[in-house]
Amino acid sequence: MKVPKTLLSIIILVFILAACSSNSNATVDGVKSMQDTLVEMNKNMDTNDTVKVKEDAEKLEESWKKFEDGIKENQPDMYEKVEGPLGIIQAGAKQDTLDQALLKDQITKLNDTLKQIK
Amino acid sequence: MRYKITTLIMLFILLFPAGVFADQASVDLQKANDHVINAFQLAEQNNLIQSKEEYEKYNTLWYKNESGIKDKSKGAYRSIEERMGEVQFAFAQSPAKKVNIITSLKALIEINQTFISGDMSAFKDPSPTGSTTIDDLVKLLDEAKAALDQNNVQAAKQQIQSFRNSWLDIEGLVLTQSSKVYADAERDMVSSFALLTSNPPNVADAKQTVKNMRDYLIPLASKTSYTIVDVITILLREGLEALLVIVALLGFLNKSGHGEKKNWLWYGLGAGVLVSIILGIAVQLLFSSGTFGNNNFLIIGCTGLFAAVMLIYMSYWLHSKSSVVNWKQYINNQSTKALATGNLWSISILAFLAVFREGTETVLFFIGMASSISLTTLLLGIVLGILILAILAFLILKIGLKIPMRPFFLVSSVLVFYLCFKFLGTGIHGLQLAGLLRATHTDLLPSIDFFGFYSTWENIIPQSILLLVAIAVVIRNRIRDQKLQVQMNIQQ
Repeated sequence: MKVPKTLLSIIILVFILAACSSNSNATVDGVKSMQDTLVEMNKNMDTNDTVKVKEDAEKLEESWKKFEDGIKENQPDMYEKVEGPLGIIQAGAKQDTLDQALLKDQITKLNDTLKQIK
Repeated sequence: MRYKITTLIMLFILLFPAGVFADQASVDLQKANDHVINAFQLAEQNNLIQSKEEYEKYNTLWYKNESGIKDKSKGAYRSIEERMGEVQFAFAQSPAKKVNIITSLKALIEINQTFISGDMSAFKDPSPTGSTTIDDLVKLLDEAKAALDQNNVQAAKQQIQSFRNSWLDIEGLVLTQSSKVYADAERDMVSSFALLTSNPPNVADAKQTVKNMRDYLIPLASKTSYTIVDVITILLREGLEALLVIVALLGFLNKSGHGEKKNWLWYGLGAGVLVSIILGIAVQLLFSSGTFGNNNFLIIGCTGLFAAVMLIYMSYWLHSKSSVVNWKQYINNQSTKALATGNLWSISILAFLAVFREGTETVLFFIGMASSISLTTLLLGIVLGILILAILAFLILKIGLKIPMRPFFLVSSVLVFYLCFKFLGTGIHGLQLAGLLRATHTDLLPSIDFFGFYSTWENIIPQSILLLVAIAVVIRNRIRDQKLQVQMNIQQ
């Protein structure tokens, strides 16, 4: 009989598809992505890879854009604490020679703030 | 010289009083900008500590009012924030360099003034109307690629920058369609820009990255959808097949003198329709985007391929001549048995099976379409299809209309093959967008939405195979028929 087979196939397909579905939380994802980039950036600072550092700075900005509005609304003090070091990192990464001490300091600051974001 | 600039700036402010520009964002920024001007003057007088304090005041005001500026121009907002970053960097440097502080403050004052003056042309805004389309983005990438082909790094950089600005407007749309493409584009637009701005620029890698971006964004620009004709076609083909079985069963009842017991048949038919509808609704609910979040391309992909496979299986195996003969024989046997034993339940079950068999098929095809058709079109198609079926049923049952079977099955076979081809195309396309399949583009063939045909090798190869197999089957049948004809002629 063909009908039960067909039904079975539908049910299996539904289960497979259900397993593929996912939910995401913009803030949690955003913070995680920024922290990952900061770790990368730190490494690239050590090897003095200016191109990579610049790329990391851009990545930070892109990630931040996605959830900054939410933070500004719900945790305004955190918002300012992120914008400060983030702005400095953006500008610092564009320099021909990296100001290692300053950038590392700002990376730490930004990372500490990100940890406090709920 | 410095005083000249300051005087010029002051003059500029006096010439363009805030009152002229009615909007609040400009007024707010002008107030805040006064602190930057103070900071600038203090820095010039070597008073860097107080200069920083003045800048901090600007910063506080900025946070308070930035949303107004962002609403007015995202491009301006980004540019101003960038300059602010430079000022903060200059102040944060140890030891602080006066020249850097002054230069960065000057740049910030200038950009703030541009915004206050209302001259938004200086800011590359992602289209202010919000009408950016994925096609526009692809065009920008084409231009960037063309510029890179001519080694014009500057122009390519500008195109990528415009792409990034426009991205803000469209990222939501991309994300709802494919989280994979979204993530890739976010990564690649940053890396292509970085490659171009590095010293020396890495043109070869940037070109490759831009090409990749183009490849995975193009599929998003064209979105195949199904039309009401597709819906009606399926319903008519499946409905008519069920109808033919019902007509046959009715014939049996009448022939054996049980004509008055045809209610049993209608019960079975009604149950078949009902179960098919329930199955349809359940499946529709399960496959709705609510269940699957942002990955709706995965639904299109999996359901499209599933429908294509089922369609091939049913059309070429279940509906093959031998199978139809068996099915008819099964009905004949069962109905004869039912009539012999007087067990009319069997007639009901047969009617149910006939309807349910076609109904399940119909549901399967509708699943394949569901994610690429609006609910109104789908429902309208179903209603219209049912209406046409009802009229046909009336004509066949009451008036005794005879359907020309050969042309009917010929036309409907072609239509079903067309749908199968389309299901396969959209299924593969969906999986590409969901990131499960690669998309290798070629300019050899154009994309044709009507056929669910996309110009990637991953689409072209399986769809060509399907087409070739179909042609082979048609030719084989033709030859077999001819042979039969010849044999019959000889026998005669």
